[in-house]
This record gives sequence, structure tokens and C-alpha cells, in this order.
Amino acid sequence: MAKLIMSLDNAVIREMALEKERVTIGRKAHNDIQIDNLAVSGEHALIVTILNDSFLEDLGSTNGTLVNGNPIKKHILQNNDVVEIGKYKLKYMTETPAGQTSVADFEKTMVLRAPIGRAQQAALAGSFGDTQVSPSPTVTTQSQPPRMAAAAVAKHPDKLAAIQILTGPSAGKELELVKNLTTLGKPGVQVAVITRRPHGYFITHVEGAHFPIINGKALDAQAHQLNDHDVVELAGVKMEFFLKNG
Amino acid sequence: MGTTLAVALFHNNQVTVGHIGDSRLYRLRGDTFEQITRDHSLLQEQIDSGMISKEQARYSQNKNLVTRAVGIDPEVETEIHTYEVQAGDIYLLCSDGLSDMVLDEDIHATLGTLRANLPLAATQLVQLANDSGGRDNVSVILVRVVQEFAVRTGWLAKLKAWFK
Repeated sequence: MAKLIMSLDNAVIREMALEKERVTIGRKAHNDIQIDNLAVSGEHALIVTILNDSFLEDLGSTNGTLVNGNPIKKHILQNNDVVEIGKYKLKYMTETPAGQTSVADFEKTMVLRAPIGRAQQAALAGSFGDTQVSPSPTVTTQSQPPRMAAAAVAKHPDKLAAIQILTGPSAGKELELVKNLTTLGKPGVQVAVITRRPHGYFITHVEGAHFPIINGKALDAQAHQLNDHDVVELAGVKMEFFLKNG
Repeated sequence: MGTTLAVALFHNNQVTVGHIGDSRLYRLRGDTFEQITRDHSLLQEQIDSGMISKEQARYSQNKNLVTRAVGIDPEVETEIHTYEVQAGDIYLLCSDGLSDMVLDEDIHATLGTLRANLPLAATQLVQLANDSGGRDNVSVILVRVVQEFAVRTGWLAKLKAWFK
């Protein structure tokens, strides 16, 4: 569960767990988080928590709500965001350590449905414009580490590789294989593609009647992993694949 | 648990697209790569209401929350639209296993580079999703429009059909 750590002049005042779906912040006593300070409006801001996401909304306060120094109207809170209300700082922290959930747990597509006639749904729709959903009671709460963080891992092999043209008019020219896909050859005549993958570089035939020749042997339709100093022959031009140092 | 769906029917120089949930249809026309369907998902609603940007959406934790799916209720409303088709268009139908793992720019680059060989492009897209983490199963269908396919309705066409 996420929590807020309230501080004033770098001194921590208190910690609050976001246990309720709606947590109000303001100067008046009926707020869930009361901040008794004249710079804070009576009803200053609202935090709605749906599953693992918390949404912060400024309720038209006089002095505004800042997140990480920027004024906001609506904002999805991210781990370690600092919300400023008056001179008070509220640090938002999620308590889901990344990587603790098993892969199978968080990938399943889940459906959100609006149970009819729920007061909370109306409240939610009111707060966030045309949103028509509220979490169905059957949806289980699961911790979901952001996918893209993992996606960035090991997308490319450690070593950079290049192709050097050996014959023909551009002999001696070098081409670094920095992109995920590098095409070689002449469109309409013969084209092959070299794909850069986590475990190496692979060459595959794309178009043309003839298949590329690697070290004197013609490829089939399958991708072929390239090794250092392999010689590729394509549309009558020979070229060498090699790994670069560093 | 339900599933999501994207279907396309090509007819008379048009494509009719139906979708439920976050399976998608994209179109590559010339150098323009566009997402044609709009997901029925919490994330899409958040983007539409201006709460988060597309950039922020990439890092959202709620990518897998759909607001519509097949197999939950006895009936489900399918969102259906019809678009005109041009010769040379390439259409991509895919599940979120692809679009969540691979950036649109990378899908675009792959289709652009390998448009001469669509079976290879499809294999490459699945590979890209798996190389990027492959957290979900990946379905990819690619369609190329080879030529116009207007229905002939003139009297000459009817006459010819008569003699066939």
C-alpha cells in the first residue's frame, strides 16, 4: 500500500497510509489529512486510489498544489513524487518492491467493470470527467512493476558489430550495425536484413530470387547467426562481418 | 478471464474494423504509421481525460486493465468503424503482447524495413516483443493491399457477369 510522508522544513511530521479510496487534504477538520495552516484551503486537494495507482487532484485551492515543483490540476502519483501544499511537503511512496511478483501474476489482462448504482462510481466519475469505470470487486489487487523497465534490459548485445564491403565500387566502406534492423542489398534484386538481438547478430533473406551466401554456403529461409569474420555475399558483393572491440 | 479482439474485413476499397479491449489495428500508409483503433482501457481513458501523457503511459502500472473484453458478460458491444483503403497500405492486427513490449516507432521501423517480406516482418515483430521481455503471448497479423478492389456496379460489369 502506498503512503504519504508529511514534512515541514525537512522535519518529518507524520506518515499516512492511503488506505481509503478517497483521501481529502485541507485546512478544515473534516478532511482525512488536516493541515491547519492559513496557506492551505479548506478543501485543498484529493487523492483517489485505484488498485496501484493514486490520482492527485487539486480542488481549486487558492494557493495551488505542486508536484515536484510544478503546479498541477490532476496528476498520477509516481513513487517518490513530492507534493507541496503550502509549506508542507508530502512525499508519495509505493510499497511495492519491484521484481517481487512472479511474471505470471501481473501479465494477465484484467477487466474493469462499473457495478451499477455504486455511490463511489458516481463520485469517481464526477472527479475525473468522462471516466466511467470503477474497480470491480472481483478484480484482485496485484503488484505490477512497470514493464518497460524490464524491457530496457538486455535489448542489445554487448559488442557493437560492423560490416565492411570487400568487393565492388564501395569496397573498403564500413557500416556499423547500430540499428535493430539493417538492410543490405538492392531493393527488387536481392535484399537481406541483419537483426541485432540480445544474444547476437542474425542475417535473414528478405527478397530476391537468390539467397545470401555466408562463407561460401547459401542460406535458406531461416535466420542465421553471424560469427566474427563471416563473409557475406549478396547481389555479387562480398562483405565481412566483424565484432568491434569495446 | 476474458480476452480482447481486433477484426478487419476488407470490402469494396474499404476496411471495416471491429475491436474490443486493447487488441489493436495499425496502418502503414507510405511513411505514416498510425494506430487506427483506440483501446478500451483504463490507460486510454486516462490519456483522453488529459491526466497523463502518452510518454507517461509507457511507464504506467495499469497497462493491463481493459474496460471492455470478450467473455465477461453475455453480450459485449463491439466498436466498429469503416475506413477507406489505398493500394500499398499495410495493416497490422496485434494483441497487447506486441504493443506493450515494443514501441510504436520500432514497429514502424520494422514494417518499413521489411515491407517487401511480410512473413519475415511478422516473425521479426514477435521476436522483437520476446527480446524486449516477452511478458505476454504475442499475436500478429499483417495484411498488404495489393491493388484496388472496388465492387463493379456498372451495366457493363453486370452484363459480363451474366455471360460468365
